[in-house]
Amino acid sequence: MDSFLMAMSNLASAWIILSAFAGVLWGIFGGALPGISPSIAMALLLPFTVGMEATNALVLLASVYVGAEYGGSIPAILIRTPGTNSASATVIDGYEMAKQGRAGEALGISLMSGLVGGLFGLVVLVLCTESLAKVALAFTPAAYFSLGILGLSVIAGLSGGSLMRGLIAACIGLMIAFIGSDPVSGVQRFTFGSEDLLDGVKPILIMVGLFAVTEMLVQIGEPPWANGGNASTKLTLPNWAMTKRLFKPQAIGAVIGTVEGVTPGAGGTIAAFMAYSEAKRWSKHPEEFGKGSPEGVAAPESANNVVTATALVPLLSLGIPGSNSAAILLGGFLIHGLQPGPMLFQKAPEVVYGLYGGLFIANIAMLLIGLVILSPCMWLVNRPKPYLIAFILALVMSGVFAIHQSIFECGLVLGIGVLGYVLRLLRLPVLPLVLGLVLGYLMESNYRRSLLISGGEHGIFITDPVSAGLLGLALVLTLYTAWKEFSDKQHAKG
Amino acid sequence: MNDALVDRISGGLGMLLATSYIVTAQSIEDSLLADAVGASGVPTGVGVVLLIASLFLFVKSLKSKAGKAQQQAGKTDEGAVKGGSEHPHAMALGLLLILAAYVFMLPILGYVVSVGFLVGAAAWFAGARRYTSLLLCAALAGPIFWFVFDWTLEIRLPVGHWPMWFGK
Repeated sequence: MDSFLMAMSNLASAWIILSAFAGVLWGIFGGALPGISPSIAMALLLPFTVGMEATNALVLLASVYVGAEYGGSIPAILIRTPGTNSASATVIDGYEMAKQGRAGEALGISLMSGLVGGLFGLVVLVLCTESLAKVALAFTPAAYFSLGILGLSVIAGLSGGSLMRGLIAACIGLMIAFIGSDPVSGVQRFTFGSEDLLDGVKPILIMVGLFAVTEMLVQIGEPPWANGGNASTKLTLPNWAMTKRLFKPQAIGAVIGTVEGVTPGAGGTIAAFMAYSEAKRWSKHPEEFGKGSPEGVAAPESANNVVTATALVPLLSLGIPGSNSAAILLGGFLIHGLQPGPMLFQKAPEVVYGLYGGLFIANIAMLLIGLVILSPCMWLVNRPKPYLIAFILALVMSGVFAIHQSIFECGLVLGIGVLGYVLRLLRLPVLPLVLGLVLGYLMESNYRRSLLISGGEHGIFITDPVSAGLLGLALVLTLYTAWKEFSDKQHAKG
Repeated sequence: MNDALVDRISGGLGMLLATSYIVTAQSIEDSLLADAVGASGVPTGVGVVLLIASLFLFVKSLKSKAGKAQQQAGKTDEGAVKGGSEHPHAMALGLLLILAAYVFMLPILGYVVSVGFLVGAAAWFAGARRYTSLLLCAALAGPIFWFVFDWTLEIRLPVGHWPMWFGK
């Protein structure tokens, strides 16, 4: 409780407030641009933090992270283009709601769920950093592999009613994930001699191609949008009844986001997909998912915003950056002569608690800035369809080029767009593909590391208690889904 | 296309992809640092899973009574969307060609000109016919996006061969 009060005492600092607002604004701007990941948005500001006071600099960087993770949901909802990897799950129902003329409602739910998630994550960070750090330490390679299996167990929920189609799509995602250097021996795989593929295919390229380019290829042949230019640009925040309805998916997102956040390397993308799938599983209206369900927006948004705070747990307590964004923040600490880890709380408690206070302000800033900018964003996407398609494509292609300044990647994204178009024709769901892509490296590298540790014994996945627990959970969830599908079919028949 | 036909095509393509993937995976040479699983082990496993899933889908589609009935009746549920283009796939291909032209032009004509072309051509192709607005959008798009990415975000964008052509 002392730490919580100390964090609150920093809220009155004008520089911290200014840093938090500036960081969130920059983060939302970067996150909303496809190709500018939270870590890139943070890295762009890193040089400017050198001359700043340590607490202000760290609040600025952490606020960029908060803003960028939230900002990714804006294009995901409005133009089916996730600005960040972790906003991919928000596309499913967010974009459906936008197509139904409910963009304001979807953005309002996303904003409030992001706020709930961010604040929940902050409370967890402030109160439980020490104990949760032990969870991160308990994760062996075997446990990471099982975490991947648990992630894949949600495929059934993302397959749109056909497990086999979902499985095929997930396999394609895994295949793409294997392109590049082998994680153990460094041998080139599936690169066909191309140096551009040595580092593999970045997930953001796949997501931008599959969601944005494919959508534009489909939209060009479809009639003008029904709401063309006249749709409401009013932001609608959830009313009391909706708030009550969103409580469960937000809680699911918060719990999953906490676990995934404290686990180095797991990240917001897996958390968002798992939260979506679990929210659907436990919803009273599972049939609405995929067709514009408010719960389908709330769960992934709360999950990926919880991660913005809980991802700092292993960084602050152990000095382990669990993601690219955390690594940039680590850079911010090092620039100011601070070494994150157990001693940080003894050596520079004012910086840590200042950061906590700054994160609180960053979440409030996210709400206030969101309230101001979302209506203009909706106005922008209500422009005539031909111009909108043209500008979306220009934005997407510019964002893709911005990642590595690579012409090859621009061409690759077009190829992925065609793949997405073919998948749509064949009615293969793209979300399991994205999940396979995200989990591929995590699973393979840790599977093989585990076998190296155990001398080739597969029993390690059962004897490791965390791994066994995760595998058991995956089994329970899969069996439950199978039973529910079977039971639903029986109900339909009879 | 009815569900059974879609499943048959998906299953067939999946089997083809899986087979070629497994063959390619098997041709990966392991280095001296290789572990027991090897660089090809996991990809081969995934290829086998894809093969089985595709085969299952293919066989299921052959057994589907509903699919057969639909096929016999010549019933299809796909075609142009009402009010949209009569040739949606041709439109998609056209847009893809514009995008490919943009990627081709980018290193030669530079970012500002290429984005101007992309915006103008894509908007015209999508149906914009007010030529003043069209030209204005195409002319402004390049400088605006350049301002956002190059000036604000300090991401260097290609200038093309212009300096070379003008002897700089």
